[in-house]
Amino acid sequence: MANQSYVFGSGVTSIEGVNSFEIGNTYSQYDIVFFSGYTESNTQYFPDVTGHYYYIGTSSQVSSSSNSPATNGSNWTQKLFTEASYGSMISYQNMSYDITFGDGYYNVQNKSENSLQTKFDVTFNKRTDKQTRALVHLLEDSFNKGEKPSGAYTGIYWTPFAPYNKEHEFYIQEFDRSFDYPNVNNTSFSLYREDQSTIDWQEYFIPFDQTRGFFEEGAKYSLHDIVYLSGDYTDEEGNFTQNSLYKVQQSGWYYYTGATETTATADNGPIGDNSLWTNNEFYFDLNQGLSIKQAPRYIKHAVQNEYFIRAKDGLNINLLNMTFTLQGRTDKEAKAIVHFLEHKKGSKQFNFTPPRPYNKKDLAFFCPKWSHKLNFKENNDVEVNFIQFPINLTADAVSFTTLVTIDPYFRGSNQTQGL
Amino acid sequence: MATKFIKYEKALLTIADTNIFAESAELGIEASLSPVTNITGSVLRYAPNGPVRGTLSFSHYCTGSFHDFLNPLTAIEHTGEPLQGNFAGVSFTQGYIKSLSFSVAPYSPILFRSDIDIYGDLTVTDELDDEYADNTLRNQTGIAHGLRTYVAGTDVKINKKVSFDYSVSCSRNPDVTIGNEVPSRVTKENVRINMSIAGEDFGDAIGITGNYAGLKINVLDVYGNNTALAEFGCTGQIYSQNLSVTEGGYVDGTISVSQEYLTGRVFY
Repeated sequence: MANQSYVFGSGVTSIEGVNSFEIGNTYSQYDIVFFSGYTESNTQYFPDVTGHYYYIGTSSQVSSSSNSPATNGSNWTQKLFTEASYGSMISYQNMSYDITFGDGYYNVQNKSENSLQTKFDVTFNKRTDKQTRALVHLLEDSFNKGEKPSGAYTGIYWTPFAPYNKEHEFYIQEFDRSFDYPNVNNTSFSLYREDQSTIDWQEYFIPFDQTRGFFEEGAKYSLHDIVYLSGDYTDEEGNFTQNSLYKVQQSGWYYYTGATETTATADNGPIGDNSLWTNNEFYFDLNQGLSIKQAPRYIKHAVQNEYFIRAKDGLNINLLNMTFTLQGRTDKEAKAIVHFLEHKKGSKQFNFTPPRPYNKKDLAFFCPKWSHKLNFKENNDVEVNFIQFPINLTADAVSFTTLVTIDPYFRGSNQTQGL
Repeated sequence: MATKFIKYEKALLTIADTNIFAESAELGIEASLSPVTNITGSVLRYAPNGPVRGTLSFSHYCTGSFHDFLNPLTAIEHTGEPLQGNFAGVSFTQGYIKSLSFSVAPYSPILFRSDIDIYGDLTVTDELDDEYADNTLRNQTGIAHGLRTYVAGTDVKINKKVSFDYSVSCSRNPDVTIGNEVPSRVTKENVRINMSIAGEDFGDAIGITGNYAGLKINVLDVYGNNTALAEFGCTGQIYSQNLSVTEGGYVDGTISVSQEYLTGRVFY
């Protein structure tokens, strides 16, 4: 563990002057070390936690065995350690098989349970040279992991900003760095996550604890609150009970649309007669400045001499395909919009009434891609792409045809034999 | 505070625990908002575009050593530490000096003008008026004055300097991390020093790259010794020259010098 600018075997980066961790050195915020162990009375190695570490304590500290990177709760981290600036954006894109039938009818099938892919475009503006050096080193060093042919490439662990504040493993592909002025730097990059599961009913990127949880009668709810309605609940004595009003197809996520705060009752609850909730109606206000480009389908026959004959192409010739931005929304509304779309998984239908003159009721749309830009606190833009579906199936009951298989070689912890 | 009429004498300006003998002061606060309208034109809300920013502008006489924290070039700002202050009962904790300027002319005391950008929470106190006063400020006898203050350095070939101006300014840019309302950092960028000197001539004609000038101002107390209250420099290029005359007068010459100043670099 010599004091040198490159530690053999630590992984190559273009950052100069990264030394080994040493007991007795004073480290300050955004210092970088390579840690494999230390020498105190004798030399101790920590192969399981060997790697580069970044000091994130706000005050400097003399290193010791009790505050080394191997110590839980120390000021050293390998995770993305700095907060992103406003202007960052998260984008969703569903990967699907689009099956086209005759008469303009089509179907959309998600390619897998990880089909809804996300990308965080993050910016770190106006940072010091030292912070930027540590940040760029972390990004570069992430490419040093994973060996051919098996891979096992380790991404960057990061807890994004609210409302996406749950730690995940992300991957980067490239990054940009600009020097604004001495000691003033901008760094921007995209963090990809392609293996988030869409079959988790509780949460996708917005964690469950960012919602109001399960619907409860007697609780107070206000505009854009998000609840999950389940037929089951636990009574005051702790007994697991089923709601008598419950219908299987009505369980799911609901969004409060009432203009004022109310106390929840069975009557104004998600499945009450005077419900203030919706789970399938995209109820958010649209902004001015919306533009719609229409391209109806038609058949264009080419005949001789560049002459064409145009003819009607069956039914469903003018399905709307709109991309528009919901601008300047509060943090709470933006969360409700994104949560609504997340749980439609990029392919499920929902009801949406377009602006006049297209304002027919009960039109069905799906949203295969959207993005959420955080302009500033309480100022969010959400751009969505709504595509009209020819038939409204939102009210139909869902029947599951998933084939559940059991791995014959699976052996549970309490089993002595496989199945 | 809003219900009171506070006299000038009791509208004390304090910055970095130092009472300032201000001749005038103005505090403005601004929120950057955009109206958000729905498709029918109704206003949904007003969305914020950035942090609330205040500007404190004031002018003061230098009655002793110049306060370094009012100079955008000084070291205190290299660390990014903000200035705390109070004006007429309004307190701020995140002040960032943005500009300093002054003019030196015969028979005139030197009035320093400063601008400070303010971010973060403002506290409006409602204490007695007496809390805002410092009557000892007027008892001070020293004052920076044009009578003895001078500019030295490169021969700019203006033998009879009548007056000169000095200013240093920078841009202040906040970075607000997601989830916060106030900046985690306010940078200091584009620091530029400008000087102009007026006299009987404008020196050698400038070329396409201007003419070099290295100037140093020694600000002196009209009653004191030869120890400068403050020193300011400008080492840059003469980029502008003017000659003017009116009937019954003499030809006046003016040169302008500008320096791009590097500040904020911290090596580690």
